[in-house]
Amino acid sequence: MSRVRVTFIGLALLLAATLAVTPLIGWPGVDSHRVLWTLRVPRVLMAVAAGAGLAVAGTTLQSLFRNPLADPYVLGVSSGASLAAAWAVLHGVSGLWWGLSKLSLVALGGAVACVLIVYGVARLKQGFSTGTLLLAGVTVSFISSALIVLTMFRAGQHDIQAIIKWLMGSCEVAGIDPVLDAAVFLFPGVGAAIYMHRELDLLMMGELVAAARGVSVRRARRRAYFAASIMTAGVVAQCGPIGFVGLVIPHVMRFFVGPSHRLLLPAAMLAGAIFLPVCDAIARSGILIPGSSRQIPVGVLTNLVGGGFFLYLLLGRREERPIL
Amino acid sequence: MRIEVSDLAVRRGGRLVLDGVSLKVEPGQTVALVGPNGAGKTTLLLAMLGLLPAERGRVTIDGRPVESLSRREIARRVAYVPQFHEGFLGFRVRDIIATGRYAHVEPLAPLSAEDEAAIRAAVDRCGVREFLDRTADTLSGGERQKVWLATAVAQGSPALFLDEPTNMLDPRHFAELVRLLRELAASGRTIVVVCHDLNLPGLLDARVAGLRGGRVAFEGSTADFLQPGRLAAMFDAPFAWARDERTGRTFVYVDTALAPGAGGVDRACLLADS
Repeated sequence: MSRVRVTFIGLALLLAATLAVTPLIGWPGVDSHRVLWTLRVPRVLMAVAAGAGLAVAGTTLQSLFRNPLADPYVLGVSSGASLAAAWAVLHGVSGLWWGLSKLSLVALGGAVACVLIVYGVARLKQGFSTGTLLLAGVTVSFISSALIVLTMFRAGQHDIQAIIKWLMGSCEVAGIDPVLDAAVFLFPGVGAAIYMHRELDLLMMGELVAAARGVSVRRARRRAYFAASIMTAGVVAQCGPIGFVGLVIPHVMRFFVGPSHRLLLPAAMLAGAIFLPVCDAIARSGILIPGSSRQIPVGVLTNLVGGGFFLYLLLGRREERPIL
Repeated sequence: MRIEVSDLAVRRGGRLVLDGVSLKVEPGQTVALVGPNGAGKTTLLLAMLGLLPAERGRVTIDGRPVESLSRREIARRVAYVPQFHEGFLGFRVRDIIATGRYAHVEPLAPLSAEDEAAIRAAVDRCGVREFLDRTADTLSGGERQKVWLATAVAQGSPALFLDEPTNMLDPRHFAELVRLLRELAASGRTIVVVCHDLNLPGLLDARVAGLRGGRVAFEGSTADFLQPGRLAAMFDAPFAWARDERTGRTFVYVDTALAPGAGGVDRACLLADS
């Protein structure tokens, strides 16, 4: 059996196991049918959706930029959402609007605003080049981070804690609605990425090559950018920034199924859908801090596990290069 | 595939690289674009593909302005092998060659039997079957060049543009490339090749368009092009000539020991009869 087939069968089995097991572990306190369906299952589904979306967004952006360090947060989407969320906390925005969390809606607004600003800057300068897009994203990200610090500087102790909690990222949701809200963004994003799998292959091979084969490079760049951005915005608005999933998962899956997006995108989607709920289950189980009932933020675990595995891959890869 | 360039001017980085270039490429013809570095050969090729905007003049492919054609429509008419490949080379050769069919395939559709047949034919024609499951970054420069050419052949376009395809090729790969291009030309493909190797146009029986300073300084047969005064004037370099008695072909090379225009130097011709 080929390595690719084994990988996909393994991922499918692992996802099934994740869906079956993670709702049952790491839940201190009340245990009832209602808790299972209003807290546990939605949280696991949120983690599955967020992990899948971030992994596909990361894969798309790494191909768009032909840069292994690109991840869903490089475009300023995350920091834009975080800035908007911090602003909302400072101004006491809370509660629901038409059944949707007002905080999430404001964060979504911030994410979308940043996407449009970065797009506008890149479009004005040199016809939407990937270099300008990357620089504009990083710049907007830095500006947003500075404004978040300024917002926290003005906030009271209670608000600062609320902002920090949001910045740590969490898959904790109440009910299935937030998952559906995220899915509204994830489905078109994932669909668009899969639709343009051949274009992503060709963009990886170089933009001149892509154009020679018949790709409208500017349109493909724009599509890939918006697909990755809406997936990230949908996740960040509900979960806050959760790092490393979109950076590491594409690399790991490239190792198993190769760089062709026909296989890489579904593999990354499945792997992200496994990785994040498993990390979330471990983070809330308290096994990392024995004797404590406090849940550690899932972002801490994704960074630790993802970073460690990334280093393992980097150090384990054999390369024959000239000694310089 | 008829390609016509009329009074074309193209600016790159603020510099007018092409200034009033006119050129006709007739169906089935092989045209070699030659000229010194910076003469505008690659720029002309990119403009003919619609990849650079014209400041003045126009390019037509089969009578249609190139800017009125979509990238897919252009790719179905012209396949292009760039001078450099700066992208990620970790793809398997079979996946790279399959990208040649991009312009013929719907986004979510699998490759059709026709696509598979075109890929198989390109693989066999270019002799890359032994590399199919290797990644491009494990191949030598010459092997990679064959893979790029196979991808362009798989594209199935009636015209083929190549930018300095003999770079980095050893004599065996050079001979194979020449043989392949001659076969493609014989099968009716229109070929435009940018080259610094001034013997290549003769080996391909190509018509020569010589560019200098962004203009066409010469257009005609290889025999007319390989004249002492013409080459020296175009390249500002001393040339020497050698004649292969077996094939009657004239070969030219740069000899810094000679003054421009000197000739009659004997030289072994590795590829005289390829």
